Amino acid sequence: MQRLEFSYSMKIEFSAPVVRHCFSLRCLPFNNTWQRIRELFIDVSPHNVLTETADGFGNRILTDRITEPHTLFSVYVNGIAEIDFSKKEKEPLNGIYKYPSQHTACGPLLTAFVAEARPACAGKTPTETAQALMGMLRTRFSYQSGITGVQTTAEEALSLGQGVCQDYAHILIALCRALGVPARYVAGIQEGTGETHAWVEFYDGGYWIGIDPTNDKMVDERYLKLSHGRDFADCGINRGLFVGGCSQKQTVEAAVRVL
Amino acid sequence: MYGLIDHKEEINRLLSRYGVKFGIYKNNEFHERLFPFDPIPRILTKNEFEFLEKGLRQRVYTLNLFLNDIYGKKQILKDGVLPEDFVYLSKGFLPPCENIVPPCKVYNHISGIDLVQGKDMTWYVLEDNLRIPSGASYPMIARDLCRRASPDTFETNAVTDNRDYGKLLKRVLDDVNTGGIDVILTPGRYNSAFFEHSYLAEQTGAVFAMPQDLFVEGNVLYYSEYSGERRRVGTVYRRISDEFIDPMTFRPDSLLGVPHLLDAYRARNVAVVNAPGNGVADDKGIYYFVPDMIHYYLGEEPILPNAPTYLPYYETDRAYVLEHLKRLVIKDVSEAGGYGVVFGRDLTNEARGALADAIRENPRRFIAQEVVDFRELTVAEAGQMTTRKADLRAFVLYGNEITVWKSGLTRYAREAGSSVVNSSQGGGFKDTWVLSR
Repeated sequence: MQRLEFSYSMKIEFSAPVVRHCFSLRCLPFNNTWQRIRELFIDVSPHNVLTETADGFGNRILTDRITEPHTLFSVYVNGIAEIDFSKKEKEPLNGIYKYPSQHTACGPLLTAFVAEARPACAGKTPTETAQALMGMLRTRFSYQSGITGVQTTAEEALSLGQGVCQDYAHILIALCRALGVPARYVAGIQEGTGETHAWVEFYDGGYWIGIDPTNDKMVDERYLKLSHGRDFADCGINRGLFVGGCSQKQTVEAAVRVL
Repeated sequence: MYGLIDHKEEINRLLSRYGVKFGIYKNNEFHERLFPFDPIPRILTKNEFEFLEKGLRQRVYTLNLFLNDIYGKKQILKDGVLPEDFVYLSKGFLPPCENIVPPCKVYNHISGIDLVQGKDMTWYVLEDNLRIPSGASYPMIARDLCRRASPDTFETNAVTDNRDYGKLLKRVLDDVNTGGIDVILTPGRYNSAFFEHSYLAEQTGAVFAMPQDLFVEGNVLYYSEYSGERRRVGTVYRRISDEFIDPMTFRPDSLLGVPHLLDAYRARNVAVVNAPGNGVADDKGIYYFVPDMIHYYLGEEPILPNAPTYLPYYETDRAYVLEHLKRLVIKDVSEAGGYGVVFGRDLTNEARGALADAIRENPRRFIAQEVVDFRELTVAEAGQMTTRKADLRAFVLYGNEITVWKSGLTRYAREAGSSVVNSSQGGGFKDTWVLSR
């Protein structure tokens, strides 16, 4: 068991006042058998009728609609979590994680990758398959920020050969699903980086198991899980809409510290 | 009833004056077209209607059980009644709607079931339209004009009044209402069925709203009055497609939607009519399995059969389809409104070859049907009596109970011999009479 202190802080500065600002924030960590939230502090400013609700994937969301003009929007969440993988329970599989989604559909490059990987994965367990795919991905994809964006699909990222955690996750998800291993996208925070992170969970023997292709390792108890979905489009940490403004500058700081 | 023929021009002129129009997008431009009206009604006897009513209730009830199952336990997939790909790969299946329990557990409040009658008088279901089926307003208003033009006709024939549609619809909106007003939400006047939206608001007494009139706060949907006052909404009958209704969940670029509407609906603070995500049940691929669903959920025989349909997904069906492409009608499962429908016989050898390749490559994308030899109905064309192929869209309303509207939209093909009756493809319409004896 690991005891973690976590914080997530996000600011958006608008160059001119905005109104009718609607947002959905998926920045409240899961509170379940193996990720227990012991303390939680939330500050969203400005806000109107801040509401906690849930989405179709089981994520917690904070929603609101700010009517007053504002030029600064800030979110701060922190707390204490206890992570204990031995408390994971078997979960039924939802078929939505078996099929391609918006960002993970296979084009020619992914299809070729899958064909190449198939013999190496024959007869392997889902865990072995995911690990083998992660190893293969490492040889043809490298970390580089600023090349891809939030709308980049797995196929596009693979063709660029470089990208960030979101791209690593999308590609690995596409490969896993194509080889019959159900997989989903996870957004969260990893120890020590100062940023939010994305990784993958695959389904093996009734359990969802985390794997981090960006860092070429299995997820351990030093990761805090915020949301999950078929891909980024389902579970982005911040989704918003507003009227007005010209340009916006967003800054995010996220941290997990092992206590 | 032939007395009505003399009034054809006059009724069509009034329809145009009342703005009974249909919008079409052609080459990315919006065109308003009149929906040509033929005054000779389709007549359903009391017995015939009662038979259809029974079959339609059975079908609509089953489709709703299916939708509750698919967004819940998915037992039908576990039991292998239909291959799960057909659900998970359907464009109409929306995972953000998982585990929502709609008020009254109804997903398909207003269904438009398209039927055709073969020359042997057998009725077949051709298509289920569950998303936002349009067309009920046309026979209502046409009936009204016909009654005015020729009152005698309605004194001598025992025609059931069809002008109660507004009342039936209001009852559904009230049945599922979670507390608050009823609202009809239109995307605006450039929608093909804008006329109908405003007409139904008038008929039901619901508030007629544009997207900017509605907002969600604290997971509750409100309508803002002119005065700035807000009123809580209990039911929204939205005439906007799923992908546009809530930019916070679906297409982020949608300007037609209401942010957080899906959240308010999930929290059971508002009923959304028809329920988001119900398009998975009117998918053309899923259609194939409706008779199996009736067996599975009800343990009954389907009262109304499907038109003979083949699923290239299955190898034996695929072989049959490829061999008989020339006499079949092929439908792309992801298209609606008469788009993506091709008759094998109308294709050149080359085009048929290309279609065969497409079917081999992606068999799940298509269904194939025998061309039903529709019974033709009499129409008055340029003062002459002739016949045209016609279908019938029956409207089935589902709130606390299921009601089949005693009328329907009969659409006929404009060209002799053609079987494409969709209004988006230039078809015309007729009134549908249900006799009370």
